[in-house]
Amino acid sequence: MKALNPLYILAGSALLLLFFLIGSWSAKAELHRIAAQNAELKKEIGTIMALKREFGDPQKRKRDFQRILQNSLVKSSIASQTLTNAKADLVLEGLGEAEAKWFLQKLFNDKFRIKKLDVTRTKEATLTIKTEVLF
Amino acid sequence: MIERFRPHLDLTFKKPARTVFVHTDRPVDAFPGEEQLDLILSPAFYWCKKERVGLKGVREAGKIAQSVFDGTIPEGEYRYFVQKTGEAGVFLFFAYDEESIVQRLEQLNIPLPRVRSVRFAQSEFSDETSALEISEKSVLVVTDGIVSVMPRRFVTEVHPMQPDSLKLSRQKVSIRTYNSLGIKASRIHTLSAAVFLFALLFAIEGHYYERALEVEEARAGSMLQDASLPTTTFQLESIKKNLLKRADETAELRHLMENSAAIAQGKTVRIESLLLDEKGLKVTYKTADSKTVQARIKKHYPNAKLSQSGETVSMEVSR
Repeated sequence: MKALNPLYILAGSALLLLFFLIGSWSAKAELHRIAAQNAELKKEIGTIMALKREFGDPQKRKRDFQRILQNSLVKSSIASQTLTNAKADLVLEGLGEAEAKWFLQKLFNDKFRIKKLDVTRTKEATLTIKTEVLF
Repeated sequence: MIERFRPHLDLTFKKPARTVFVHTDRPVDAFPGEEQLDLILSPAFYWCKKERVGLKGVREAGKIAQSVFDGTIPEGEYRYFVQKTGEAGVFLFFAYDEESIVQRLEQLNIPLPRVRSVRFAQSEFSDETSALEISEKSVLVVTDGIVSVMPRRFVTEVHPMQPDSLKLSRQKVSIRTYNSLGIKASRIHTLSAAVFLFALLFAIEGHYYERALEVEEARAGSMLQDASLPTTTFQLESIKKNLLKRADETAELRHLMENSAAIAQGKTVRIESLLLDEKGLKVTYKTADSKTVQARIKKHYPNAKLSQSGETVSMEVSR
């Protein structure tokens, strides 16, 4: 067999080293890029999921709203209510100031999408609330 | 095996060179300085045969070079090359042991890293007509075109050998146990092995990263699948935008209500009516201290429209 010049072997090895070195570096850089992208995606998914939990489930929002209406503080004051899967139209009449305050706090603290809210004092200590809430 | 003549790999710029004839009993001078050496090896370093083989080219003749020497030279690791003679079908066959040449050169204190080229005496002296003095005991003679060494006592007329005045042929011999970089082959092999090892390590590392990359790429899909979200960035952005819009709307309404309540703080102020819709907020306050209420409104809503009628202060804020 014809013997190879050692310098050729060295050059071949060096080329091989260069090839794998560049390959390894580019794979490493790509891995870091994808890992950073995934970390960003994970954060993004976390944000979306948190927002979805609060705003993205109309059925849950509807159940929460119904639960508020079931409370004894406001239940007796419901003059009319129309509930669909998308929205609710509600009229509360003769509410005391404390009850009205409780209802409004629940409405805003539970982050309902209020399309319209009309609060009118009818007597010295009673209020009427008309509201349209989107789920 | 065929040894094809080729230019010796020389990466250095031209340096002053000296031609040295090397024979086993010829005293070799010391070689001070930096000058390069062109060696001519005496027939003691190689085997040479002139054969008529009926072939046309050196390439074909090279294929049978090994068989030409079979059984006629001691066993060993030889390299071969073939040289044409002026006669058709007649070739000069050479066999030489590279390792043993290098060892003998080292024994003769030839500084190998400075050796620029190696030639055989056959190529340089075949046209010589007179005997040339090698040492006190030996002379170089040419018989039937073959250069050989002979005891001096058999020759009557001897001429001094002047290697430096020779015009060297292009028939260089490649001795691969050293090179023009002045590094021994064994060292180059060690270096090559180390470089290869590193290449292997980087190959393994690269493979590891490739695998990790595949896993990482698959992870993005599974994260989205687990969260029941679409896979395209466009769709994700759209979902997020809608949800953020809702969150902003809710936060805005809450802020409006908080401010309205803050304006109505105190026993002397109360909200008579409040209308919140897509256009904005309208609030009517009843108060005995309208200046305070107006000041509060301006503090929270500098751009609010204000109106007053007796104890009633109305405010209108656009969204």
